[in-house]
Amino acid sequence: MVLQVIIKKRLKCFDIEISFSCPDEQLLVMIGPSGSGKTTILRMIAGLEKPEEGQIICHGKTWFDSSRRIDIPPQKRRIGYVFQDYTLFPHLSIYDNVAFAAPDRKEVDDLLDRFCIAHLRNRKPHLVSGGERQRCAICQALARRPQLLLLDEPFSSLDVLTRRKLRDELKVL
Amino acid sequence: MVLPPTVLGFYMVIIMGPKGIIGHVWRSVTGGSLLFTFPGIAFAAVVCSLPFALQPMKAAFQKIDRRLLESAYVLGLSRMETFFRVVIPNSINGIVAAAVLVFLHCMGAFGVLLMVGGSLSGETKVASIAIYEAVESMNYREAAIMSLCLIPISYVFLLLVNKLNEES
Repeated sequence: MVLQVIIKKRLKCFDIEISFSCPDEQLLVMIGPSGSGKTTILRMIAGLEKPEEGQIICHGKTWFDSSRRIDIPPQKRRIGYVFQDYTLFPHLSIYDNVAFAAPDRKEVDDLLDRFCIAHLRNRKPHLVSGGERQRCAICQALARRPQLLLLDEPFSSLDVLTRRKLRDELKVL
Repeated sequence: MVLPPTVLGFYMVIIMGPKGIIGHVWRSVTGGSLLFTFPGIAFAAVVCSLPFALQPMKAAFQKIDRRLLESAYVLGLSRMETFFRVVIPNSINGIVAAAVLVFLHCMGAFGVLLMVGGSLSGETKVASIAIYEAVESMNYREAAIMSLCLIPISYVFLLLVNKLNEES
């Protein structure tokens, strides 16, 4: 198992109590109405929020364990996280955004090619379309060579065609 | 600063004097006095104007989307690296605006500088003190020329601050 999650967290209106695991090289999809805590669960896996109780184990490494007081900071979890409204760095070009945390510059060019945004490399994020920003955000997350890729509503603001295309691209990964 | 300039000036004279902590450190490093010198009034002017830098910088930092910081953390950046690679570049307008405001305020500093630096020609006689002295000695022509020189400088920098605020 790549990822094992058993967590409890108290929110304002309700409690999150969930346990699941995801095998290696598998895609796990979480579905639920808005406000049901999907983002919070992803944020807890990323280490941006703390569950009250539980365990998060990835590739055999404990990222969080309330009983043993383990809480690895997000910096050390080596994940790719694409936020709901893909927060690219506004002061950097598309290329620099993807290269932001990339250990290998050559890989950045490959990713830009693969996601068909190589021609936008010198543009700033606010000058490209929503779909292109989305692909840039995914490239940025992948360039870090994450052991786990978390996508928060990755297709929410895309039209049907772009959505389908991006979904196919992601399946190939 | 909420203190009257003379009160502030008095305390600056004390801490910058030979027995004051800053004056003492300065003397042990450079061998000279800090009072009645240009470095001394530069230091006093910056200290007195620093509060004017806080507000624009605070506003610029607060404007940064928290999710940008989280994004940087997830990408592996420490808090320090995030500050230099994300926070500073995205609040540069506020930082420059703060610097300009401090500069403008230093240009107009008067009371504190007079107490800390006196009015030594060629060393600590700054424009605002020179204008005051010109008026005191009824030399209105000189005062008018110096005042006219300062107006465009202040105006240009004020425009710059407004432009920076608009952009951010």
